[in-house]
Amino acid sequence: MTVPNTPPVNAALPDTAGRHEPVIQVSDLQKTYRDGWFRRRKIQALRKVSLEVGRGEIFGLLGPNGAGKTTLIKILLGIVHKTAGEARLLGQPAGRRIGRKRVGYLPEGHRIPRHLTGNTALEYYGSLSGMSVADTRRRRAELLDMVGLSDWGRTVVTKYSKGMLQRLGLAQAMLHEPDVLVLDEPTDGVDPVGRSEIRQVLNVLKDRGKTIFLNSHLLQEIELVCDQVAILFQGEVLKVGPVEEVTDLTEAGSSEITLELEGDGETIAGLLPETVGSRDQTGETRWRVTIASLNQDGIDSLVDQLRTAGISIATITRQKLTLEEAFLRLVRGASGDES
Amino acid sequence: MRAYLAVIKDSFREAFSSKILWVLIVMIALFLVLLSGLSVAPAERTGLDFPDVFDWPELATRLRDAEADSPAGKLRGRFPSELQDNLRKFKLDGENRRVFRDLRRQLNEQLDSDDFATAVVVPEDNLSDEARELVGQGENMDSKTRQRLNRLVLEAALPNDIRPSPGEVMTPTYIGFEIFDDFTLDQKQLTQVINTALQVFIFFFVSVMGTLIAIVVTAPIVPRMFEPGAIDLLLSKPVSRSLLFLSKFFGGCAFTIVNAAFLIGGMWLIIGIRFDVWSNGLLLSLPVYLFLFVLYYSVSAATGVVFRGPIISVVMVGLFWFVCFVVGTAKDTAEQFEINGSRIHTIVPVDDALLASNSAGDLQIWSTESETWERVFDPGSERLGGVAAMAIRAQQGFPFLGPIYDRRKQRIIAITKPTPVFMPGGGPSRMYIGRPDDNWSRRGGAMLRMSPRSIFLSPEGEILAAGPAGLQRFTGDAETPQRPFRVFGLDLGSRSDAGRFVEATPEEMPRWNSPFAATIDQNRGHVVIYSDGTLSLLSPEKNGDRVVYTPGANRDLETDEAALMAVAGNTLLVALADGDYRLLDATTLEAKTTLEGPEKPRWAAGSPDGRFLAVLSHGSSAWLYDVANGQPVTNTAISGEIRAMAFTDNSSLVVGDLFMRATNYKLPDFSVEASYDPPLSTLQSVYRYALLPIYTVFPKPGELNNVITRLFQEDSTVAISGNNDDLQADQVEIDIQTPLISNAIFLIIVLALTCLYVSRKDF
Repeated sequence: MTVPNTPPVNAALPDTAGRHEPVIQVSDLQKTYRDGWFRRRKIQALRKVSLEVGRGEIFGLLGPNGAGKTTLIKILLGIVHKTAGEARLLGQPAGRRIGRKRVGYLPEGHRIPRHLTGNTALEYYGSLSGMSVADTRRRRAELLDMVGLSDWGRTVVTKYSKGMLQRLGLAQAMLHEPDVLVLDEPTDGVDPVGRSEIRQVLNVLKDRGKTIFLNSHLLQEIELVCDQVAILFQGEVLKVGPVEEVTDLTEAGSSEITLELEGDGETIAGLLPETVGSRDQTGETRWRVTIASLNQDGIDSLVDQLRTAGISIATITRQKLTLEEAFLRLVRGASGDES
Repeated sequence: MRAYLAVIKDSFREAFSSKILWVLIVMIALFLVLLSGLSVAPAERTGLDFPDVFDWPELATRLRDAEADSPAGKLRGRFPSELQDNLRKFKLDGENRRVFRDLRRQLNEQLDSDDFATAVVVPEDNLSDEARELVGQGENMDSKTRQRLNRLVLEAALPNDIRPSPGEVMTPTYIGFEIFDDFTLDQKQLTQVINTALQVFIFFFVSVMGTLIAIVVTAPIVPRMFEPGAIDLLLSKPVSRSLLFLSKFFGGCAFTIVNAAFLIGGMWLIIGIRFDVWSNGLLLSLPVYLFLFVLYYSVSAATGVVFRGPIISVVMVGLFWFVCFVVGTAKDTAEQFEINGSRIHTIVPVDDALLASNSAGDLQIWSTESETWERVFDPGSERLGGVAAMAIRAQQGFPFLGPIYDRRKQRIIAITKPTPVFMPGGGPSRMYIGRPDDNWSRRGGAMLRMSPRSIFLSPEGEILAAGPAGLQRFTGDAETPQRPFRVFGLDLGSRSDAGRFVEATPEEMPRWNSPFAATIDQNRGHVVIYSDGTLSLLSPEKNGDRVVYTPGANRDLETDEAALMAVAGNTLLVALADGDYRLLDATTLEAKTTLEGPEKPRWAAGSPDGRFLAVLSHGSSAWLYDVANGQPVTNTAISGEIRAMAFTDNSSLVVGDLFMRATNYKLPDFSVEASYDPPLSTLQSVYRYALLPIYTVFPKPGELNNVITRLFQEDSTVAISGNNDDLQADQVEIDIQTPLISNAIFLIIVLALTCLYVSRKDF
């Protein structure tokens, strides 16, 4: 896969100036599916979801299966009709054709008709996006090269691997130079090298001022590329914001602290605050203590008390959660609340 | 628009990537190669078969009675002495089967001989142009040409007995080899045969098999488009959902278009090149077939959108076909077994009673006591049943000419229509009589040698029958039973000479041409003949004890349309098939005026008081004209769907509509004098109030075949007998509007509902 070292394709789009201009706005969005013979069974897929994505951002939408991620994307693209609330894409009510014209979409598990080759598939989807065949032909070589399929343009898609199909899907989403890319599980079925290359492509697109709305199970990737994330669970947004904010699950100004201490165990236990998470003996007089949440004043006070009591402080470490850890904690917490 | 064209283009790409398409293309190509081996080669019509003779007993009688130096006598002189003896002893009521067989064999031997034409000398004036041309070749002719000349000489020697055979004929060949021995066709027959074969082919191989294959092959196209992963990708594009579906739907027809165009276009080209028959009907059947396919495919696509499975799509198409088939068959069956039999066809006012016939030819009399129709004029032992009756009906429709009422002798007279002798129950025309004092039972059976088109009574009460072959009057006893002479079930003539039809015109009168019509002016006794656009008056003149109709005034109407005629007072109406109604002076044939009337008249008459002229068309439209004030008459009584009309003796008008219902109106005020309204049977009620409304609103894919049939016809109605020049013969109206409109409405509704579903559905 070759990422072209070219200037932003869409020169008209400001690279940084309009970055905070909202491209996707969702407010109190609700979706209820109806099922059964008489459509009496109701399934609430989205419950008052609100979020905003600014121009030029890479936004990651996280959530377990059935959280409502795909439903949210489909409402934005007009594939599913909302039940209540508001959703806007590029300033237009979601689903409007004028909005869709500026969006590239890669659905999860997409199917490209079996009779098409890489080239004809791009021609077909390019025409559907309103491009002329000549424009498509001009763009497709660059795109196929970008996604690593430059030698596969004439091959019928039935001969493609799952990863190759995913790359072709990505190429068709980028074909008409959209302002917004909505990618549902873009690295699904792609090997680690391919994933890295796709990440690279996303970063290039970001540099070109494109807004990317990413939906993925692979939290590490989200963490690596996204500016903002939202965690969706059972149709509700549990947390939304920059990755650092989402991974910080402590109270404001607090963080998780780990201390390596040496001294009398009973003395140490008597000095620790109520928020202590764990106290493990690592040697005859050595202890590792984790405190879930402690602000700077608390840390200073604890250090003073420990030193006054003759306890040696070997190390003191401020702990940071990964996105995956934060996600799991949030989801498990929400599950516990539910139960 | 670009996006939708891309979807259609992609459908063609998909079709061409299908292996099934290429398999079918190869099969069609193979079929076309095989078809291209068929052709025709020029041939000569020689030899003589049983159907080539109008009436074998009449021929035998003529040969028996011929003067020795006449052409017929010379022919007889060339027969072996045994056959000559048998002919000399020939009697109509004898056992003659062997005589006819020997006669046919001997005639064929004569036709093969080298000196036949020179031995049986026929005056040159009697020879056809073709025969004269062949005679001009002298001795330089091959045996086939000589046999042809012999046949033409035989036709000229016995013009009233041997059917004339066309000159330029062909015989079908395959890769240069003749397919049948002694089988020839002229170009018109060849065109008819090809058109009939094409209709059958289009029906079975294109409409039925082609649709079935196309539906199975195309069933997955729409469900595949609506699969998860495919549809959301398409719907994310800036396109309209409805137009996306419609583009895919019409694109889905690509497979069918390619195959059907290749098959039909290829056939059109090969048949045009090989047979010089450039059938527009064949070409036009392509869009009709595509419409038929689109209709079924709309059901398949709608099912595919909802259930997203090709198998259920095919099953639903099958179910749709079945329901349409059941509704159509129920209607047709009800019509065949009950409704057609109760459709009034002909009304015959008889003094104080009323006779009417249904479409099946069953004559019935109105019973004032039971207020129903009671059947009369039963053919008794001559009645045909089962296959024979069906064959006759399929061939000729309403079986009679008439009946007419002979007030003077208080009897009705009807003439059966001729049918080919080789058909079960077939045979020449026969005249039957029914009398009220005998409960109108059928008697008589005198044979006519020609195909009559009109039967009427002269002012003197003579029975006259007219047809292109001449004007004949009946002499003798019409009521004496005359049984047909049958060989292997073939009616070859009469056994009796109790009464017969003889020429009513001078012997030198030429035959008339088709289109033909005849009527009689009851005031003056003139017979008016319409022959190929020319009117002729035949005036009765006494010649000893018999009346001879001699030619009088002529007028060329400068048309080649078929016509019907009627006389009222001194006005002659010539109602042409194209709706051009000419009014002329009945004595001088001077043109009076021209009016517009219903096309394709099937009955025309003048009122006995000479004031009104009435016409009824094959399209069930009535037309009435007031001769006295020179204006057409309009009234609601005759504005509906009229099935039969007749004038009574006192010039009131009896009008019949669908279920054997008739009303007698006094003219000109249309006050009702009598009505004849039998109660509806249960089946008739079910038909009228349930079956017909359901059928009307239902789609009619099967009836699109009528449209294809219509494409191979010149006219919107087709004579059951195949002779469109005979306007009195029953015609089947090929209704192309109803199936086209009802199917188009169904298609629009299905597509609109599917678009609505697609636009509202969450994918």
